[in-house]
Amino acid sequence: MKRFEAFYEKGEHKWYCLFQDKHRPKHLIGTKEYLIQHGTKVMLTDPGGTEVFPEIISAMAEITNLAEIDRVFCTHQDPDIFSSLALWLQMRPDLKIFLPKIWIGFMLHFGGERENFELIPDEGTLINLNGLNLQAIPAHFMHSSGNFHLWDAEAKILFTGDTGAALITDDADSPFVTDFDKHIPLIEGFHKRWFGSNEHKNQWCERVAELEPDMLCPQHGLIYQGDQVGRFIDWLFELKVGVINY
Amino acid sequence: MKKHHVLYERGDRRWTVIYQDPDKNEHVLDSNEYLISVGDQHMLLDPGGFAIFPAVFSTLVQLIDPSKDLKFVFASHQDPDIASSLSLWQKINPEIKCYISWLWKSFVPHFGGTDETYIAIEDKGQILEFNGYKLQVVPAHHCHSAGNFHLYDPASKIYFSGDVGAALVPDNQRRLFVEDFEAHVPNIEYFHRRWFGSNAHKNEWCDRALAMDIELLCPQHGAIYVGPQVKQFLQWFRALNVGTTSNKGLTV
Repeated sequence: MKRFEAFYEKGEHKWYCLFQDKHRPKHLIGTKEYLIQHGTKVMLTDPGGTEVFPEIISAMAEITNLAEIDRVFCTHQDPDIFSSLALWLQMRPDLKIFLPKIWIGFMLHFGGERENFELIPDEGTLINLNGLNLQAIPAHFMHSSGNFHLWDAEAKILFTGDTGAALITDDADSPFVTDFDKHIPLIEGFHKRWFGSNEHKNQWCERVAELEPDMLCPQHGLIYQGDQVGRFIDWLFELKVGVINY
Repeated sequence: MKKHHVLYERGDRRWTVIYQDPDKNEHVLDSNEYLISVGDQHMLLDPGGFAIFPAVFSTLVQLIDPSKDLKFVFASHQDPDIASSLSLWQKINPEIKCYISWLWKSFVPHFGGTDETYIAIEDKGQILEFNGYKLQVVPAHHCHSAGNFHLYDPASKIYFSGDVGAALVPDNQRRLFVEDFEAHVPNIEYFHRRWFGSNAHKNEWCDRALAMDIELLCPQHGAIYVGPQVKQFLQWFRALNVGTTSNKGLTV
C-alpha cells in the first residue's frame, strides 16, 4: 500500500497525495497520485499503470469509499498516466475520464469506450467537482502534444503532471521539496531532454506565474510550496529545453 | 482479423504490412503494423494497443508462428497505440525483447514487461543487427514524442516512420497506398500541425530524411508513400509550420 497524506484541508475540501510505494520495482518510474475531495465527490489525477494499480487501490480504500471516486483527470496519454484504464473500468464502468481531446483514438488502444471519456478542448475547460470549480490549464508540448494541468483556484494548488518532475530512484519519506537548490540536479536533465519547445514552455511559465499558486504538485518527484513555486517557474523560464546531445 | 500485404521480398528477407481491420471500433485510431522477416526470425514494428491485439494476432498467426519466431518488437515511442499490447505478446513468447528510446524505459513497464524485456536505444540511434542483416535506427525526437525513433532498411529502401506521415481518415476512406499526394494533404495536415510542437526538431529530421534514399515511407497510421511521393511529402512537411496551438490561453 502506498503512503498518503492530506496536505490541504478546509472543511469538506481536501487534497491527498499518495507518495511512497515500498514495493515498487526499481525499473518503474515512481509516481504520485492526488485525490481531490469535495464533500462526497472525489477526483483522482493520473492514476498510473497496471503494475501499480493494487498499491494505489489499497491506499485509496483507506482514504475514501471507492464508490465516491467517479472521475479521473489525465494530463496526457503516457503509459504511466492511465494504462490501468481497463482495470478501473472493471471496478467502475461509469467512471468519467477527462482527457485532452487529441488522444481519444490513441487512448482507446488501452481499452474502454468513447462514452467513458470527457474530452478537453485545446484551450482548456472548467470541471465541476460537487460545486468546486477546477480548471484544466493548457500545457501542450510539455512534454506531450496534448497536455493539461489542473488548477484549484480556491486551494491555490496546481497539479502539474510532468512539469516539475524529478527523477528519483527511491521514494522520499516526505512528499515535499526541502531545499530547492539541491533539488535542481534532480529536475534539470528531465526538463531539458523531455521538453522540446521553448516557446510553449515560456507561454506556460508566464501564465502560471500570474495564477500565483501556493503549491505545484508534479506526478513524479516532490511538491513545491511557498517561495519554491516562484523559484521553480523562474528557473524553468530560463532553462533552454529541446537539447539533444548526439 | 486484419488484412496483410507483402511490401518487399528478396531472398530470405521480407516486409509485410498488417492493415485495416474491417471490424474495428470506429473511435479506435486505425494502425498499420509492419513485420520484418529475415529467414525464420521476425520483428514486429509498433504492434499496437491492448484493445487491437486480437485483430493483429489473428492475422499474424496466418503468417508465422509468433510463439517461436517472433523475437523482437520495435517501439517507435511510448504511446498507448504503439506497444501497450506488450504484456500480451509476452504471454505468447516470454523471451520477446522490445527496443525503445532510453527515455521511456521506466515509463513503459507501467503497462507490463520486466526490466529485461526492454532494450534502451540511445539518442543518436544505432545499427540494429537482426539475424545477420543491418537495420538503421534513425532519431526523430520531438516528432512528436520526446524520445522517438524510425527504422530504415538500406537493402529494401523501406523507411518505417511511425507517426510521421500519419493520416487521420474515416474508416471507409482507408487506403494502403497514397494515390495522389495533393489529394492526401487534407488527411495529414491537421495531424502534423497539431501533434508536432517544434519546427526546429521537425526540420532537422526532414533534412536527415531528404538525404536518404527512400523508396517506401511507411507510417503507423494511414497510407504508405511510394517513390516520388516520399520527396513530395518530405518537402511539404519541411515547409509546414507546426506547434501553432498556444499555452497562453485565456482563463476560462
